[in-house]
Amino acid sequence: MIVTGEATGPPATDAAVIEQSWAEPEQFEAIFRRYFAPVHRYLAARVGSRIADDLAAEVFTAAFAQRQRYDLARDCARPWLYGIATNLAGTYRRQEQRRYRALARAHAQGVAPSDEDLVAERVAAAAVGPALAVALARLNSGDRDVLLLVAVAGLDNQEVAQSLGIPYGTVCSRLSRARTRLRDSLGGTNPADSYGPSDIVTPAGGRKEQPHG
Amino acid sequence: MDELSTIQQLLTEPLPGPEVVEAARLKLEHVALGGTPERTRIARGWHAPGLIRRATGPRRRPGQAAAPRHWPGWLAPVAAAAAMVGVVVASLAISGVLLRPASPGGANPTGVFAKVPRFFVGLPPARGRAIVAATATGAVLGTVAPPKHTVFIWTAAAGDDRTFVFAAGHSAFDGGPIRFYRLVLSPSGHPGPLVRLPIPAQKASISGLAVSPDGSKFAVSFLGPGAGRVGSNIKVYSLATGAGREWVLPAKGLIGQISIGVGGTGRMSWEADSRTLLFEEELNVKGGGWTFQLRLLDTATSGGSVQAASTPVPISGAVLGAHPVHPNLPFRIPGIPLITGDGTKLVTPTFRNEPPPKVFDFMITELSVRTGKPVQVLYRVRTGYEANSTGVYWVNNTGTAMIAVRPPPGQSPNVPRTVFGVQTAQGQFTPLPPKTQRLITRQLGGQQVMSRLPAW
Repeated sequence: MIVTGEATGPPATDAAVIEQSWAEPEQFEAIFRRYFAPVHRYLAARVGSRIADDLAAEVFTAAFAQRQRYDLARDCARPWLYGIATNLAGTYRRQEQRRYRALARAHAQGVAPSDEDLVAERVAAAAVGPALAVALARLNSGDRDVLLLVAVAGLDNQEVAQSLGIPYGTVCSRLSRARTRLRDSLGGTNPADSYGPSDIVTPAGGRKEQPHG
Repeated sequence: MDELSTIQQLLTEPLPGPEVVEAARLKLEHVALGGTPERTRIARGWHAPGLIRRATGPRRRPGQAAAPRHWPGWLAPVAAAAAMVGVVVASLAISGVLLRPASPGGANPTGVFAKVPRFFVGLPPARGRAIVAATATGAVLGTVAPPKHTVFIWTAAAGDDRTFVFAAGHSAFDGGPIRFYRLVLSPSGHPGPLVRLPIPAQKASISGLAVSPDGSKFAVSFLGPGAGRVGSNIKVYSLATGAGREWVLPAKGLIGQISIGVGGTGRMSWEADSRTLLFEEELNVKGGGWTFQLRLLDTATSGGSVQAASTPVPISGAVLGAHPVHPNLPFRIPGIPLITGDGTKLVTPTFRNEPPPKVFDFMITELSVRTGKPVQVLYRVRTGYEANSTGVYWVNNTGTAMIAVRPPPGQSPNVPRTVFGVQTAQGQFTPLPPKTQRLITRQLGGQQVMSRLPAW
């Protein structure tokens, strides 16, 4: 029996754990334990849970292989891991686009895509989901990476800059552009404030009445 | 709500289930060790309670006292056990079934050893033969080779102490095909031939195996093939005819345990009637997360839904599973309890964290099947060492005798060491002889590791 208790005393920083894993590879499990679930969730949001199962595992095997190159000046490994995750998600760009379109269709047609059985509930919760999903699919990949690292992964702008290896200013401009384009595609206003529950924008741009019940 | 939070809401996914985490960890372990797929099998419940690596670090500052460390117990013990077993098994390697002289293994045991099964099978952690040995003496009575191009994946014993069922396949995690075999020991404990059971090869990963006490059938649980493990199931097969029945979990979830680090109690168990089967299910909760439940399956039903054919044991899901114990909970049950043959009690390792932080209170506890409440604590140790954790591998019909793992009597709680032994309901514990211990565990580099998975 193994008890998954935490270590005695304050937890070591990610950098300390990674440094230790250079000589003792098993130490890397601490990084896995800390971040696997959120990284998986981020990837699932982008490419769907089925692909995310493999991709999230790949993030940590890649990180393990690259751990000797980790910048120990950075205490927190979160941006590093999300950077790897974002790069890997980029190899599934087509699937990602398909997912967003499927999200949009799910509500517009009142059915969930076959492999996304939670989609319908989520889209119903977010009345503007279909339009937003379509807009998301139309963003260029650089802008979308920044937007999703902020919106889904919860990184701040500085962490996004570290994740993607781009200047802080670039993050700000990409984020601003992405938000603007989302708003533009939805009519130039904050989407959640613009549409009531009975007034939903379909992917085709028309409006449909929300089904009752 | 702005567009960022709307996106967040739109794209929110539930946290990954334990089987996804498990698979990812095994991949990482594979990379870290450069190991073979078979090696990963050890990680799925191969670490005996307490039989885990002790800390070598982190580096201490000058003058800083050494503190007990609590290791997750994977990677290093896996490597150590696999390497060690390779040597042992090679030394035994003779084609076919290797037989040893009948005595002393065939002698009738006395004292407390007369209360437990005379023979056990020890499964190697990687490619190689299983051993058959005498519990009371540690005499190896023979070895059994896996079928060509396969490894043994699981094994379990019937209540007659002589019938064992083996599952073998190319690897534990490739989803099959897995075939089943029967091994019957002679009255003196010597293994007969390994006989293929008339059951079609199964293309799935096994998460539990248990042979009925009367040796007429066995239950095997499989992970469901779909996302979220939809379709996880229990199948019960007749050893004589291969006829089977199937009960399917009608939701996302899994049956049995595949978590790394759970001790040798991670399996289903039967009541003496060879009809009622205790199993644990882990269900996906709507909105994210998982919950555990212990249930009793009536295998006389004709199959169908697991839920419909089973009844829950009234133990809160909050105390089940090997997650850190919540301070408000009285204890946690990290593995799957074993049910006594009379169906009245569960025996199980339990633990709780005690102040100061990370001092463990490890116990062996009996619980009532009817109420789910503890009936008796058979053993308790308060220690700073996770390596002193407890486990139960076998229990008799009434719960008066069991094969358990715990620190030996008289040992200081500051010594991180456990042994296999016979625990009685009166609180007595008699370690198995050193020769038997050495067949199951090994000291390697000053660390105690598990070298074979025993099945009684």
